[in-house]
Amino acid sequence: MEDSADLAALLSRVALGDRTAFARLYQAISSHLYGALLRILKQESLAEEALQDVFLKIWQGAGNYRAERGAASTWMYAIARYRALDMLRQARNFNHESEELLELADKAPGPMDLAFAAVKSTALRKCLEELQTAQRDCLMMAYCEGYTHEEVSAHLGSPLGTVKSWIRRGLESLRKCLDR
Amino acid sequence: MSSDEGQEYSPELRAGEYVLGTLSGADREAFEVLLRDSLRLQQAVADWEEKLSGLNTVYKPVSPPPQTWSAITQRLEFETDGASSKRFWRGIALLATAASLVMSILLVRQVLVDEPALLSQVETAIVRADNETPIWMVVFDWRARAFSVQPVMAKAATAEKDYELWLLGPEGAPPISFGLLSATEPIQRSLPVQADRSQARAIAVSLEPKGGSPSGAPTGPVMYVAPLPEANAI
Repeated sequence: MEDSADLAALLSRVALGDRTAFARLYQAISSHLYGALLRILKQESLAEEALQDVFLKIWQGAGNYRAERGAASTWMYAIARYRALDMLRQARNFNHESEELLELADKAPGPMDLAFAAVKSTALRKCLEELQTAQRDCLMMAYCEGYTHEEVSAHLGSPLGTVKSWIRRGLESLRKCLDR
Repeated sequence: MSSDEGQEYSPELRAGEYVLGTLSGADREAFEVLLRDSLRLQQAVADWEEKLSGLNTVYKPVSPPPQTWSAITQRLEFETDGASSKRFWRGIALLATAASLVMSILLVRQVLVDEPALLSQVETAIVRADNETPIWMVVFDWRARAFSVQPVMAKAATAEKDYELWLLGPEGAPPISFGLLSATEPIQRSLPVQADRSQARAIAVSLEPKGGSPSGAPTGPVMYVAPLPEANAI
């Protein structure tokens, strides 16, 4: 992926309505965002629809991006993740929760160790390592897969209340560690 | 360990769960409503997004289907439509040679009061009659993607007509409507999604039937035109 400053520069040109910059932005980051959408939505047709929505939001909202608040990629990944989470929520409203949860419990546990190995930020790795394993697994499952508390609970075979607590304590500990 | 007793569920923690994705349906919607108006929550969300952004490298890049890009550009109406634009451009060319056209552009760089580190790209265009009387003042904020029009000495069109404002791109491209102008009321709107400063060459005002062009392209005579400077001069 192009580096942070280049993406920010492209975004500021997109904010001026520069279509060439928008096309270059798509070339630079669409496969990264699509990968995230695919992982959370798990269906190509949904992920493709979501990717269109995400780039429309990027086109329309580029003027709202503020470089001093964070990296351009962070901003765009967030748009992608929230779109996917919204689509999941809409889809869940039509599904029988219990059937879905049984399905999840039957699947092999997600490869969270592999996911952890893919974390490149040394600060985040260090802080994730300091968490209890259960807390770390919950956080990563929730973020990477877009699972709800219920889905994490079904996947790990742990009570719902316990999972909620792990996630909150995990977030708290992570924040304290990263703020050091 | 199965209860939340003793654990304070602060707004910051709620923001963390929002970013993580574990804030459930109705809670998530409720949080989004609060988020719109709360700087504190917006800051907390931005903080968490940055903290957790290291997890984004977990997602393996996957090339999207090749037709996705054209679907996006179509949804943004980037595709151009030929016929009515040609007539309009002929009209523009005639007007440009007429002495009745006078317009001046002011380029203004404003430092926003609350964000002194940023320059807002604000551009002002004054629509003038040929005796230099200012008629409308148009201000574009390209960064915020908004524009405003202030009537100065504007006269209302007749009862069956309205003035409509257009952004002109490269020759042959369909003009983009910025909506109707008023002789009495200021207007503030978002820029149309497809308005592209880097491709914009001029703005124009046409006289349309009441309610504006029925076709989405200019149908009536062009009353005023002003060229815009090259985008990299901003």
